Amino acid sequence: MVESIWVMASGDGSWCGLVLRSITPMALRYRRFSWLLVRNLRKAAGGGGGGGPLVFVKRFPRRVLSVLSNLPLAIGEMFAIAGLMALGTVIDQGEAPDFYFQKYPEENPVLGFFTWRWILALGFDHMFSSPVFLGMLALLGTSLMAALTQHRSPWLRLQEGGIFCTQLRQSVSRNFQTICPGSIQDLGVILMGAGYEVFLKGPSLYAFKGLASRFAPIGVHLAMLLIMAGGTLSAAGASEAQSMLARDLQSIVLYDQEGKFVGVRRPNSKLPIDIDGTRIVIEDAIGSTGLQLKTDPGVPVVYAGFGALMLTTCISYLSHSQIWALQDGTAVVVGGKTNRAKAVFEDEVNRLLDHVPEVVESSSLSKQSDMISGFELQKEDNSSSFYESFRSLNVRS
Amino acid sequence: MIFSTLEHILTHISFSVVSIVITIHLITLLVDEFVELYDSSEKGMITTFFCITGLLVIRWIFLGHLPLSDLYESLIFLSWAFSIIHMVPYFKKHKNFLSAITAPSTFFTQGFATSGLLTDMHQSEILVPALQSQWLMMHVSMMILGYAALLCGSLFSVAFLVITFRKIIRIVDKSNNLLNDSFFFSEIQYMAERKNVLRNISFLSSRNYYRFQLIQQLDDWGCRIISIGFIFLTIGILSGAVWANEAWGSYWNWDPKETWAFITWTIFAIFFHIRTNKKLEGFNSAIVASIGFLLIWICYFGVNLLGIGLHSYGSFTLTISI
Repeated sequence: MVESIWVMASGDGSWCGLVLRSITPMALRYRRFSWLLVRNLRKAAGGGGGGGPLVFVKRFPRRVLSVLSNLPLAIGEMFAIAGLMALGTVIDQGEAPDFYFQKYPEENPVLGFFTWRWILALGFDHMFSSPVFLGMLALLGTSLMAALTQHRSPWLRLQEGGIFCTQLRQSVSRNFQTICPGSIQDLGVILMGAGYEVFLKGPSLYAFKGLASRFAPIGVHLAMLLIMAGGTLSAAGASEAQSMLARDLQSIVLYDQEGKFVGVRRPNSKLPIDIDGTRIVIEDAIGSTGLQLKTDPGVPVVYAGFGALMLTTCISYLSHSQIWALQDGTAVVVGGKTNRAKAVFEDEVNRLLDHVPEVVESSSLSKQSDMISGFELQKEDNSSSFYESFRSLNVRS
Repeated sequence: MIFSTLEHILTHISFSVVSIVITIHLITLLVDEFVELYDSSEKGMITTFFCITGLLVIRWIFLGHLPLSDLYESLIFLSWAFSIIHMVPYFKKHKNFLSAITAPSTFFTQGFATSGLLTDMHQSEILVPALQSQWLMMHVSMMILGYAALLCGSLFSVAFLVITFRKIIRIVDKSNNLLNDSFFFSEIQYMAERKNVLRNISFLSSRNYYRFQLIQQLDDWGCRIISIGFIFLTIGILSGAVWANEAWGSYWNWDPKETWAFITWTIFAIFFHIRTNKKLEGFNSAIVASIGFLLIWICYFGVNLLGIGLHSYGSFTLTISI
């Protein structure tokens, strides 16, 4: 079932790759990306960093991008935004300066230093439109965008995962590794039965499941960017005609003298409402009193972002599991990696491995195993012997 | 008349059953392990689940709207969600010890709801006009489910931290005596890598192995439950925003409750980001999730105590009726 095999290796021997072009149905989709692999690997061999899907991004100084997409920075930004929001709920918003003079006086500062000067200088009286808060949000936005570029082309990463090396001790980070007796073909069949996509080449095997979950974080970041863009649009373009007017004679939106929203009342309910100290009951609504108009250009964008966020968050709950296996004599060395439910994954794989039938005797397998078991003892940075083993494996196929 | 009697009966049954279950668990913990009792405690939790479901269904039928309009009803819904979370591992045949956290949560929320602190709210009322909307079902139920799952997950993280701290204290105490068999295998490696104090000692007593298993389970299950809770919280916040756009004119008003829900969402997003890094995983993420526990209570209860803002339907004053 294997059409052709490409063998790739970097100039310094730091990594290797076997890519198979197979005609199994799922693999057909990845055929066209093998050329992408070649192109990108050649570039990577030249010492490049992350090949993002957007070409113009490459013109940005790489250092700026790598600084902006730093994970601790992002976490710090999120903490800062959370803290500012909490502060915004504690400090009363939108009051006259006198209020703050009284509540946070200089003679008796809250927490020993917090006076009205801090509040008015930093804009905390209108926290959610203050430069500090908006600046933090903008910074988070740039971090999100930088993080997007750092996701290397998803197809490239898939092919990277499809690279299964003859040495399981290559720098593939695994969650667990185990060994089970049997043949690797049986393991492949069992994995296929369990819903994995299996790639089998000679003594080595690669299988994965749940590919969507790998791309879900990208989707979440994109959705957040959409929402932020929509919010910016709203802030820039929204306008409202405020008054005490009937919307559709069934519900009346009420604003007080300063234009702050107070509440909604329906005439039939006769529920009272307090506005500016007076209690009002809406008795009836007569037509021809006018309209409340509100235009908000950002709403469709924000709704699109909402939908995308809901969807991608749900998808990211699924786990993306990968399994590498290598035939070693009459046994198979299996390594696995997953991004979500780690303990459950281990149990699942163990249960699957229990089903692999033991191979009692196999003459051809033992010859192959002599060749391969020598590989496991080699060190990772011993490039020359690595090439030797590689070449000899190539010869065998 | 029938309605209130039925309600009365059901609440009292569920409350007493859960208290019996808790007592059984305590006996197991403190006195002796009776294996036969384990099954009956599980059946007790299932009974509780049915009682609370019955209570909610009856309230729904008699009131005509989903029982989620005020604090009392949302608390009952919360304890219902806790009992579901408790039962899920049982049905998947994962026999685990995490029920020690979910069962008491059910008990305490149910107890608080039925206690004397909220008696003036027990009477069912006509729904406030602003809440007469289809969105009520989706937004509030999603939020409560999200709260329940996130509370469970963060409690698991708190348990993780407690167990880890107790072990670290024990290691530091006995750092002079290297042959003590209460050392913990992977913690020793961890310490060796970080501080170069202890050498790689592969002592592995069975008690520590089970403790290690428990920690791994707590970590893993905590992450999964928090993932589910995060999904529900996201859907809840976003549906709330869409409802707000329809009812109040704009989708985000920086209302205290909205803001605190967003803060909670942010903290759990930080939790997931910390977990991407293998080195920081586990311990640091558990700290963040524990902070999340406090934030959820502030978001759910604390804001209601203030009674201001657009979410004032859930506000209440604690009156103790003697």
